[in-house]
Order: sequence, then C-alpha cells, then structure tokens
Amino acid sequence: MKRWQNAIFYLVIVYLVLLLGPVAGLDIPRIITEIAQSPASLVQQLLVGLVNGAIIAIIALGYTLVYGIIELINFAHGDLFMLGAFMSLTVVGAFGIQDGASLQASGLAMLVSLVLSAGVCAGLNVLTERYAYRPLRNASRLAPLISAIGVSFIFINLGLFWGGLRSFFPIMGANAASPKSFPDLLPRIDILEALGIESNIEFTTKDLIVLVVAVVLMVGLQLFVQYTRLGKAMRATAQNREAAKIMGINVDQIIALTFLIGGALAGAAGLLVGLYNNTVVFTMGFTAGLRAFTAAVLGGIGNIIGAMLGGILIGVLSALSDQYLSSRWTNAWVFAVLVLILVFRPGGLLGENVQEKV
Amino acid sequence: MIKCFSSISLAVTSLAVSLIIGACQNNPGSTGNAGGTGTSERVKIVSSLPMTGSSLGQTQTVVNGIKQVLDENQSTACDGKVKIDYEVMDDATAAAGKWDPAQETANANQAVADNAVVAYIGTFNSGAAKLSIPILNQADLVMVSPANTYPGLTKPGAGEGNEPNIYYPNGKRNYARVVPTDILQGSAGANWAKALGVKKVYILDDQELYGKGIADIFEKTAKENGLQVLGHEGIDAKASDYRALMTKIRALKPDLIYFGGITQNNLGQLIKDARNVGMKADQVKIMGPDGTFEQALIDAAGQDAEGYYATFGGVPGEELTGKGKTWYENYKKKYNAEPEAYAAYGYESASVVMNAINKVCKNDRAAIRDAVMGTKNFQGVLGTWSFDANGDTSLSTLSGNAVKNGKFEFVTKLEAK
Amino acid sequence: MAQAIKSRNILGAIAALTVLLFGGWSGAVIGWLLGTGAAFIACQGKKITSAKTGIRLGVNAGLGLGIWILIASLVQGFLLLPTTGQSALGIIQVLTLGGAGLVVATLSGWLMGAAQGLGPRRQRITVAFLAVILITFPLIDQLADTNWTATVIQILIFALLALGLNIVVGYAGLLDLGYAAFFAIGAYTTGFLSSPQINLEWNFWLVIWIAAAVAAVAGVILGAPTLRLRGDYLAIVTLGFGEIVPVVFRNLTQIQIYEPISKIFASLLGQPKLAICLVGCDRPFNLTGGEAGINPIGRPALPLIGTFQSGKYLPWYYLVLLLVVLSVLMISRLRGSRLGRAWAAIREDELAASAMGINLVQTKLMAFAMGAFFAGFAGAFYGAYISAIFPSVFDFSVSVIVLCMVILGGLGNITGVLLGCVIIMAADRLYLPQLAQVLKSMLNTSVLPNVANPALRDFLATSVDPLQMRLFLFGLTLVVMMIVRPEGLVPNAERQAELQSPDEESLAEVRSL
Repeated sequence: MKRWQNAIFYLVIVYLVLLLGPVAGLDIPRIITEIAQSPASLVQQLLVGLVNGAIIAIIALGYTLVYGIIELINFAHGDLFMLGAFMSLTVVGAFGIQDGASLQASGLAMLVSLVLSAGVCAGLNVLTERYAYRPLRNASRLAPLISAIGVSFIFINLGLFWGGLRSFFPIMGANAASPKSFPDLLPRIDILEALGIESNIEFTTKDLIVLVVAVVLMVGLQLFVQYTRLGKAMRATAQNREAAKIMGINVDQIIALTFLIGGALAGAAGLLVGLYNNTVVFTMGFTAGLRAFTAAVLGGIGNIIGAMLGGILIGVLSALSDQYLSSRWTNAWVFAVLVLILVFRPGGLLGENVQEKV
Repeated sequence: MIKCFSSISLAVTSLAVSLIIGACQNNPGSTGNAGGTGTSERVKIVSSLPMTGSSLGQTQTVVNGIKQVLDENQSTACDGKVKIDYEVMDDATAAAGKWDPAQETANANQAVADNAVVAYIGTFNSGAAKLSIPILNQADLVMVSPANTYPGLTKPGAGEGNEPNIYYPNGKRNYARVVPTDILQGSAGANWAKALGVKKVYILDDQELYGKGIADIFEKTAKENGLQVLGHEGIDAKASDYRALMTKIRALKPDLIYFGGITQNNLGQLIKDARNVGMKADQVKIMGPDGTFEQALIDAAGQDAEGYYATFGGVPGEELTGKGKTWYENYKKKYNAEPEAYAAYGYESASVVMNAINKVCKNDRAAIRDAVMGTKNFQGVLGTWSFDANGDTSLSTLSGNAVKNGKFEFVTKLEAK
Repeated sequence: MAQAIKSRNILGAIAALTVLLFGGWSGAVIGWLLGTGAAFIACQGKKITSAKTGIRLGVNAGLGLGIWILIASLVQGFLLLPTTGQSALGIIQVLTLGGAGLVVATLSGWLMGAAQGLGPRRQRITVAFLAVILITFPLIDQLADTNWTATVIQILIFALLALGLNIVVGYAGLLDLGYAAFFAIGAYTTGFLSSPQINLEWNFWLVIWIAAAVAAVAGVILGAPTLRLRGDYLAIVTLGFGEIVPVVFRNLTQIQIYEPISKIFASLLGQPKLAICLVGCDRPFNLTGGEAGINPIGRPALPLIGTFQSGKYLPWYYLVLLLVVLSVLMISRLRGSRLGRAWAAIREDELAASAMGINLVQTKLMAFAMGAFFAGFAGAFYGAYISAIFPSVFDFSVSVIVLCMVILGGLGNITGVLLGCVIIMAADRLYLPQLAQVLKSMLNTSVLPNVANPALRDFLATSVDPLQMRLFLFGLTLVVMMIVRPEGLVPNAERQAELQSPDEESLAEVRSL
C-alpha cells in the first residue's frame, strides 16, 4: 500500500514538471530531442561549464578558508577579487602590453602582476581583518557579517575610483564605471585541432591553463592545510580557539595568516579571471562572490575539495541551462538545484553531517 | 493634577514649535536666496538620473552634456536677466546600486515642491519616467528625457491599452524626448542588417525596458525583411561570462548577433565571448542600438570591438557641421574625451530647455513647458528637428556606425522605414 | 555619566551635521527631535524624584544640543554657503535660524525632562511624547520647508521590513538572506489584485490583508524545505529563494501551458494541433509585465480624503505610520507569548527546546510566516505608494540592507531595530546624497578654480567626485558603527548577558577584590 502511495506521489511530481516546466524553459521532450540531435554540444557545454566552474572554485577557496577558521561569511572577498583584477590590469597596462602580445613579452608582466595583485590583496585582507573584523571577534556571530558587508561596499567604491584614474593609467579608458578590456595574453590554440582530431568541440590552451591553475591551487592548499605546521595550527584554531591558545598557538597570528592566504588567492584569481574573461569592471566582484560563496556552501563550507566540487557543479549547471533551458532562467535553476541539494544533504556535498553535541 | 500637567506640556511643545517655525516662515525668502543678486530672477534645472551604480558610465556623460550647455551660457539666460542653477539629483540609492522607484518619485515631488525649478531633465530609465511624468504633469513642469526610448510613453497605440494618456492626468503633454524611440532604432537596425547582406540573425537583449523593446522591434522588422531569426533570448546582465550562451549560438551559425541593450549590461563581455568561442568578426557580425554607441564599448571590448555596428539617433559628432561641429570640439577640449552618444543627448536636452527659458524669460512653469513642447526647427547637435505633438523628436535620419581601428566611424545614413 | 556625555556629543554632532548639510530651518526641526531624545537619554537610568530634577537634566541636555546647532548654523551661514557657491546669509538671518534651533532644543529638553519627573506615569508620558512627535512631524516638516517626509515614508516602509525580519533572525535565530522575496510577493500580490494587469481592481484596504496573508503562506512554503538546515546552510537556501523569486517575476511574461501527455502524443503522431492547450492559447499570457513591471497599481481611498495622491504625502505618511505602530504592537505582544518564548528557546538551543516538547517544525514555520506577513504588508503599501512595481527592486541588496538594520540596531529588540532602520535609511537616502552634493559644490567653487595644474584639475574633477563616493561613505558608516557598538545600538538584555562570557566576569570580580 505504501509503495503505491509513493509511486503515485512521484508520478504526480513528474506530471507537474512536464506541465509547468516549459514555462521556465524546462521542456524535457524538447531537451531530449536536442541532445539526441547533437551530442557534441552536450560535451562542449560540459567542458565550458567545467572551466567556468574552476574559476568559481578558485574564488570559493577564499570563502571556505576564512569561513573554516572564524565562521565568517566574508562578503568582501568577491570585491577583493575584483580589486585584484584591477591591480593586474594596472600592471599589465603599465608594461604597455596590448592584445595579442607574444607570451615571452607578456610573461614578465603576468608574473609581476601576479606578485603585486596577490600581495596587495593579501595586505588589504590582513588590514581588513585587523581593523574591521578582529574588534568584533567576541561580539555576536552576525556582527562581523555587517562589517564585511560594509567593507564590501568600500571595496566596490575603491574599484570605481581606481577605474577612474585614467590620468595615471590610460588602460582604464575614458569612463570610471565602464568595463575595461583586459588584454588577451594567454595563447588561444585549439588543442583538439592541434592534435589533428576533427570535431566540433573547442577546447583551447586557455581553458587548459585555467583548469591546471585551479587544480594546482586546490591541491597545494589542501597539502598546506593538512601537512604543514602552520596548516595544522590553522586547523587547530578552527576546531577550538581556546584549546589552540592553550597549546601555545598564537591565534591572532594564525587568523591573520588565513586572511593573508585568502587575500593572495583572491589576487591570483583576479589576474586569472582578467586573463580568461578579458574584462574587468568594478561590479564584477559581487556576482562572482555570490556564485563562489554558493559553491563553497554547496560543497560543504570549510572543505577545500568541496569548494572545488561545488564550483564545478554550478559552472556545469549554468552552462547546461544556457544551452537547453533559457539563459534568462539560468540563475533561478542554479539556485533551485542548490536548494534541492541542500534539502537532501543539509551539510553540503562533502560536509560532514555533524551530530549535535548535547 | 499630574495628568493635567502632562497634557498641557504636550500641547505647549507642539504649539511652541509650530508657532516659532510658523512665524518665521512668513519671512519672505527665508532660505537660501535672500542675499542674491537682487534684480535677476533665479530659476533651476534639475536632472534626475542614476548616479550611483553601474549606469554611472552613461549618466555621467549626460550630466557633462548638460553642464556644457550651462557653462557656455555662463548659467544665465535672457542676456543675464535670468540666472540658472543646476542640481544633479540621483534617483539611485547606494544600497540598491541602481535606480529606485521610491527615490525617483521623491525626486519628482521635490522638484515640484521647489518653486525655482522650471525643467526636469531625465530620466535614464523608461520605467522611472512612467513614475515621474504624471507627478510633474500635474505641476505643469516640463520633463525632457535624454534617454527614454519606450514608445508607450508618448505614442498612442504603441504601448499598453491606456498608454500614454494615463501619464498625463491634466491632459496637457509635458514630456518630450530628444532620443528617437525604439521603433525607429529597431527597424533602422534591421534594415541596415539586410543591407549588410545578413541572412540569419540571433537576437539577444538585456531584459530591460529599453533593450527588450528595441530587440522586439528589430525582430519584427527583421522578419518582415525576410531575415531568418534563429532565436531571441534575454541575457543575465550580471553574469561573469557568456561562453555557454555563445557556444550555443555558434552552433546555429548566424551571420549577425543583434544585442538590444546598453553597454553597461555586459556587452563588452558578450562580444569578447563571442570571439572567444571562435565566431570570427568576418563571419558573425554584432550590432546594437545607441545605448552601445560609445567609447566605453571599445574600452570594454578592446580589439574584439573591431567591426562592431551601432545605430545612433542622429549624426555622430565628427560628421556634424556648423553648430554640431563646434559642440564636438568644445566637448573634447572641456572633458578631454570623445563625446558619447549620451553626451549629445544630454547636451540637446539642456539646449532645448535653455532655448525655452530664453523665450519665456521668467519663472513660469507652464510657459516654459509650452515653449519646450512647441520647439520647432531646432538646430541642435543632432541635426535640425522639431518636437511633434507627442513630444517625440522629428528626426528620422539615423546613422549607422562601425568600430574601425579602435574608434567608432560613421558608415551610412539610415532611414527607419 | 561618561556614557551620557558620549551620547550627548553624538547627538550634538548629528544635529550639527544636519544643519551644515541642509541649512535653513532644519536646525529647529532636528533640535526638536533630538532635543527630546537627548533629554530622554539624559534621564535614562536615573531616579528622578521631582519634575524639577527632570527639568534640570532635560534643559542641560537640550541646551548642550542647542549650542551645537547654533555653532553649526553660524558656520553654515557664514562659511559653508560661500564655499559652495551660494551667497552668505545676513547676520540676522543666521542668528534667527541658529537661535531658533537653540530655543527649540532647550524647550524640547525642558518638556521631556519635566515629563520624566512624573514618577510612575513616566513611561506612558514618554510614549505620548513620541506619539505627538510622530503625528506632528509632517506638519512641522512642511512648515520648516525641510522636505523630509518623503524620505521618512521610505524609512517607515523599511521599518516594516526590519520588524518582520527581526522575528525571523532576532527572535527565532534563523538567518534569512532572502527576505526581499516576501516583500516582492506582497507587492506583486497587490499588483495582481488591484491593477489592470489581469483586470482585477480590488479595494486596497482588502488587498493589503490578502497580500500579507499570501506572503505568510509563501513564508511557510519556502520555509518548509529549510527545516532541517542549520546556520549558514539555512542562510544560503534563503538566499537562493531570494534570487529565484525576482527571476520568476521578471520572466513570467509569456506563459503558454499545454497538457503534457497529449502534447507528447501529438508530437509523436506529428500533429501538433492535437496538443491540448490550457493557458495562453491565442497568445502567450503576460502575468507580471516583465521588467516593465505592473503599472499603474490602484491607490487607497478614504471617504474624506479621496484617493491618495503621489505628491501629497500626509495620508501616505499616516497610513504607513499606522501600519508600523500596529506591527510594533503585534510583535511586542508576540514576543511575550507562548510562541515568542518558544522562538527564544529554539534560538538558544534547538535540541534542548525540542526535548522540552516544543514542536520545532511548527515553531520555525510560524517564525517564517510571521516574518513574511509583515514583509507582505510592506510590499502592499510599497506597491500602492509607488503605484508600480518592478522586479529589479527586490534583489539581494534589499535583503542585505534590511539585515544590516536588524543587526545594527540590536537583534531581537524592537526599539533597536527601528533605530537601526532610521539610521541606515537616513544615511542612505538623506544625509549621504546631501553630503555628496555639498562636497561637490565645494569642490567646484572653492577647490577647482585654485588648482593651476590642468592634469591635477582633470583628476580632481573626474576622479574625486563626491557623488561617486556614496557607497564608500555608506560602507564606512556600517563598519564604524559595528566597531563602536558591536552588540547593536540597543542590545537585547538577554543577548547581552549571553555575550559576556562568564570567565571574564569572574576575572573582573577577582580583580575588584
């Protein structure tokens, strides 16, 4: 009897999806036909989603790191990433490098901007922690959240100001608020074509570089947190601040270190996104931050591999939705799937389901 | 006893305060302009545009255009008899980062309440205009928009059932705009696309009133012209990239992608991603309306902007002769930048208002409104034009422009029909 | 004592800033408002035996404030106006304006102080004072020509939102980052029921209740999937809803629904006409109007006043004031009720609460429903007030700002939440734009002409534009306020007790020994 009830329940759900889905672009029969007609598009979109997801994941690492240690949703992280992109753009502009410059010529510029933007963002993040979050460490859990929102506004405005410095950096263009073009410096060679494979699928060296960087960063961070002394100190602080203090760990320093690493990651991500998306604008941090934060939670916040997984899931979902549903509904579908996943796995994909201690 | 005391004290507070203030209120010219220049009359122009957030790129150039008009006239009219103040109102809020309906309503009401205000330049968003026109209408205050293109604001039958009359409760038109409506732009774009030899087109829009309106008209005209419309889709203007969308479009092999919207809604990224996924500029053209006809687009898209097509409701600066030419040079000198489409519209709006003030020469809202609405054969920077009975510009010559060597260049004149 | 001086100076600074920015009679108005407030604060926590003591304290506070106002008036009239390109005021005028501020502030202080000395009736009198201020405010505002009523209406709309969110976050301890969704649902319900969009033009007085109820139901529906979630996972799911709802309202413009089974058969048979069409058959049905939104929305009407007009603020002001007062009354009753205590229990310790027999599901859903109910109110009023609604109004930033108000003011404390709302909204809508204007004209008249270097002048004119600094100033305000009062402006007493960790207290005890 129970089984029948369940079956009827699921049938009703399927019927409702078929009935109402098309309103929001989810027309399953049509999607099935489209996939059958051109399976290559599916593969192509999976690849696009994978690379986009890797970018989201890199930003998500910063969220997850900071959240892991002080349980703060660092709203300013996305905007810090935006400032990193501006710093990279400034450096590249100062080197006078244009679109399509050779890799040798731009290599040095990329290296310098990596160092500078990671350094500046790390410094800014440490300063922010020192002056905007540390005084609130013993306040209610939500107080630093407001502070972070405030810092985020300040950063956005800094980005706007920076974008208006055309007198000093001509690369900023005429208008402060307009998006700026980031020179296309990474080589864009179609790998499959270079290998002599005929296909409709495009996967360029640019995509590959982003994937490799993302994996390297994630693995490096994971190793650092798992095996180094400082990493262990970070985990200890995250688990129990008081106990860590008793064990002789300088908690303030460790938290500052976490913000340092998070900031450096944001700076590196800024450069990478600049190189990959080739556009920098002062509002870019907000959207990217929202997605990245969502990815971090989806993967199980505090979990580095989870952040990667969450990012890729979101990237793939949006790519598929753009292809098969409708791009204007993409945002809604991404968040709908997120809600569904969290309802069935309340601790995120890889987050442990902590039993409540009594 | 105590109760009595309390009620007395309550009464006294309110009475005292209102008496003091009320008494002082009778002082003529109690605030601001008491120590003024005496004989001359002061009037005020306000502009209400979103000055916070992402539209700032365009609105700043509108304000530049307005300021230029005032500066050229030393902020006076009628041979110095009327002094003109200018106030930049912001209809965006910091918290929201874009135009806010409550703020726009408040701005309109504030303009109505300030007796010195004789003209209201704005809004940037057609949705905002729907709110402020009726408020200003009842106060006989004229409104000139440098940017609204939604046809339903003025043209009977072009919008929803009871548009545009619901916006003009006192029955007299008080709203005019110097930009051509979506109808002109969209159809001119589609005609141009056909002339360029386009067969298959994919249409995108930024989901805003302006962008979607133009894209819809483009689609309609394109179909009438026998072009094949592969699809029409709204994009998420806040997305960080459009690679997936562009990959999908690439598979459909269009000759042209039409984007209805403004640069600020991520067109630079859109163009870059179109090229990034392998749609070459010589195979797939990209075209947009005047909201994208600006240097900012080239700043945003860099080299990938090469070959981008934009329509514009007038003749661009460097093609102008006479008055327009002077304006073009002056603007470049003053702001150290190429004037943008919206700078021209901003300048034109303020010029029309200035022209009307010069005719009326006193603080009379209704007279200035009638003077603005009655503008005929106006020689402005967009050409020589008039306002028709609906308050729309009579300009029907549009220009087609394309990016060449990092600059927009005039290509051809376009007729809308 | 130090606290009293500190708060007096803060109030004085606010009053002075107001005068500097707005000029004119704003000194008198702010003197009236803050003078009363300063006297009230001065008398707080003191035993006032007679009206005399109260008056002494009140006049002291009012006078202190008045001096700030007077000085600010002098500075504004003589120094600030010329540097911003306006002509300076005459000495008599400046003295009248400043003097009025001083007198009004002192007088208000005197009255409030006297009222505070009334012993047992103190509280009731204070409320009466507040009522008088709120009721007379728009009249005074009109007389003084300060034009603040429009902003105050906006503040009150957000006050409704903040009060509602306070139930969810402050009382029940559920972090909600998508609260704007309920605001949107309330507004759109109003839009559907009283506009030509789907040809329903019902009476506003009925619609506002329906809107609130629909929002409450939506609160239950959206709250249900989140019941198992904790902390920030809950936050992200609510954020998700907050993102989904505006997208749905923006995109429901071309609805066409076919019966799926018949449609599949039809396409298999190759005869699309066999599909049974349910909705939008002739042409797709436009429910929400897309980005253009729903416009116009019907306005409320009353027998004597007629239909409310956009430019006439008085009826709107009193209506929204009534809504806020009603909400405050309802919410303060809720707090002490059985439900309110259950919320506090699950906020403190969910497990213990459920062990004590509290129905977690019901309690949490009630929190979502009640919170959404007030957002529905706010949405309905907003829709009617603007007489139009657009999907872009209800995005993430609204949720965040309302959350800021609640936390800044003091979680779980009605007074605090209202205060947080007033401060954030006044900063965002009133002070910062005005500050930017004043700085801008100062830059234009006094700084730029004196800069010889053209490159520097170009830089100053284009980059250092105060109009573009609003977000920075707003962010700075949030950060500074949080650091100054981490526990919120008016912290909840229970919460404060929690925050004081026991070991620090005992340490203090040891030291004092």
